[in-house]
Amino acid sequence: MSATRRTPLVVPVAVGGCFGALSTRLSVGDSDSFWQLVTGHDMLARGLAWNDVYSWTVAGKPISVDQWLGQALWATAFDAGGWRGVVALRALAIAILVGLVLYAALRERPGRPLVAVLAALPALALSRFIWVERPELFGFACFAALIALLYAARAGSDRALWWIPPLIVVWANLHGSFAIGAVLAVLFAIEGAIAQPMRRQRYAIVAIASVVATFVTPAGLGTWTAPGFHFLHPPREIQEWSVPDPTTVPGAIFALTMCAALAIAFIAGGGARAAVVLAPVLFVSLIATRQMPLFAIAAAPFFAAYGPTALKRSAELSGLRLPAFATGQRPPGRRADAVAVALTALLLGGAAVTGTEAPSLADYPTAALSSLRAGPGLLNQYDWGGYLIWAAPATPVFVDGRLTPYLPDVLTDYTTVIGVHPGWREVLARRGIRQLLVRPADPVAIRAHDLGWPIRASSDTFVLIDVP
Amino acid sequence: MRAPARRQLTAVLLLSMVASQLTPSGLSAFSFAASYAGSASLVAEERPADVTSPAGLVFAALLLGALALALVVDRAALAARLRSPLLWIGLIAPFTVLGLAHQRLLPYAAIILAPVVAALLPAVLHRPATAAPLIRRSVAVVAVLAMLLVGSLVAVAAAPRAPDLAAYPAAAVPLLRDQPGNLLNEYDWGGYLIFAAPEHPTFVDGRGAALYPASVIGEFARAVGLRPGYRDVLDARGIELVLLRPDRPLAVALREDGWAVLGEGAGSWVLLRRR
Repeated sequence: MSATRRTPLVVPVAVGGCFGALSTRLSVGDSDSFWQLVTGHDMLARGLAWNDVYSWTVAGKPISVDQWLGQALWATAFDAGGWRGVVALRALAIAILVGLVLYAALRERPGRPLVAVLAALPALALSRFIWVERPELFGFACFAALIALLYAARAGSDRALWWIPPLIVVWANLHGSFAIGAVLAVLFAIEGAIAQPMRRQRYAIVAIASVVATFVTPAGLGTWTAPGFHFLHPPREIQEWSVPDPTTVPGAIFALTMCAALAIAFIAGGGARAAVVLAPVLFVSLIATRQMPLFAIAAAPFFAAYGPTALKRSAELSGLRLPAFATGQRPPGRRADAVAVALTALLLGGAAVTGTEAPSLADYPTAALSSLRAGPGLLNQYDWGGYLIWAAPATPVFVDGRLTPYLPDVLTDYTTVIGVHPGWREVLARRGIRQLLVRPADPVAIRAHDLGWPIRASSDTFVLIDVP
Repeated sequence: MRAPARRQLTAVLLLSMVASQLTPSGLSAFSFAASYAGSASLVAEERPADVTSPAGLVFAALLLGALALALVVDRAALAARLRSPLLWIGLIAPFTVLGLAHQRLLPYAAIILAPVVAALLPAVLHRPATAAPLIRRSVAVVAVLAMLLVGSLVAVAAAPRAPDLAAYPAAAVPLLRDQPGNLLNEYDWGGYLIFAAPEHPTFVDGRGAALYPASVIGEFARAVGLRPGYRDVLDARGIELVLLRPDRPLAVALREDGWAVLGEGAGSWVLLRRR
């Protein structure tokens, strides 16, 4: 099912551009984007920070630098254009992600753009949930690029094969999701070496180079620490690391995608090439909600290649007759590609200039900032840690979305206090917590109200409480 | 498919649908199932499956195995060994989704996936399809009887004589017996309390969403989680006794508020009474 002719870029570029442009109308200000921006900004000013400077609970302790390039990109975008710059970079990353998913699908059916779009639909729908201004978005774009390269390489393109290690070098410096890319590249190389003995040496070089590439980062061997931890111990208390739930909208889309892949596999097959990609990626996607889009992205070229065959065979088995669809006889040429790229650039530029210009802060405790006491002693809601790093630098946080530096002691103490579990008052005393910035419905806020602790400021969103 | 086979299968389908209605609940059984499927449960076994758990890993291995084998196996071999790929995918897909949504249903998915993996794995390894070994009937009867005898002896000698109550507040039951008043109990212990302390009707128990309205389950979650309005729940329901795990925020708060501790098991339960 491999392509033997050039894959036109018009459809991937145009659809990617449309999705990117649409994304400029969405709100900006994900809870983790704030600390990513501060970290990137400080890094550009003073170089990499290896120790924490934003909390009072793990101050001075080692922190991960595995997203330094991603953070630097977001900070550069912000410095260049404020929040509009961030929105523009997000739109560009989304356009690239969507375009790559479509390209990989279209590559399997170059004359059938409608089939490619249908095959990519689950990935496009699920990717909506990761359209965030965080390095994670770059990680998904890298994954989509890897899938396109793997399929192209297996179809005979040496150029695509050699591009895999450089992609993983960039990816390992952008986001911790590089680990799935490296593992996938090795599995793919093993399968390729078995299926194509003539190219065995090339596959071996690429597999080794892909692993080595993961160490070409400031953290060196330590680059694998965060991905390894998250893979083996997904922090379930964080919503995006929860178990995929088919009764939710994204979970239902993921479940449908998985069922479609199973159905196509049983009816039309797919070969070892598809198996070494789909099986491991399905496992990774089953681990956590935030990883569900990976499977849909990996499945897009498989759907495009084998979906029509599966549909045809199902119809035959059921005694139904399907209408015949025409195949495009004259695919667009390079000139059309160039025009599409130029028009898309214009579209993205125009959309970014007229798009969202400020973050939506309705869910953050903005009105509490003026009442916060400077210095250590604040216990803050986990989800607001990043925002406080950004908006209240004089008050270091108790915990924030960086998560790993706080494991296990600080996070345990946090959950003990916030949930009023046994020993919560002992934690308050031991840690020297002087003020609580939490949601009004948090058990600790209810308990503080019962106990008559002074409330310094409050709204529907937050309550700022003095600890007596 | 030939017409007689189609008629036969249609008849079996219709009879099966009728058979599913031969219960005291009739059509209501479907609404119970829907309420289970559509509500967020407080019970761990009714939550989405976690593939990093031991049971989840077994399920994931079977699912990924079935997917990988279906992709790799030659179409003719797959058709020969599974007879009807459409039938199998019609079974695998819904039960896999159900298992992922409610982990207690994972075994159903595994029961369907296991024979698929068993049928396709030999095909990938280019091994012939296996047939049941031929054993003489007399030998089989002796073997089965011997196994039954050994199994019976093992059951008589080693089977438990009483339920394992380690997970229940058994020591709280005698304390509870003499105490009047409405009880707020831990969800997971409701069924045990119906059995062991019938004089105290439960606030909630394992019959869950099939019996209790969502408002009652919401009240339970609000009260034990120390959420806004928890005191209103205690007052409106006239709660005099609380039997919970000691790490529940409500147990912590009521202790601090001076409710009497009638008894407690080391880290496992606490029985409190309003003063």
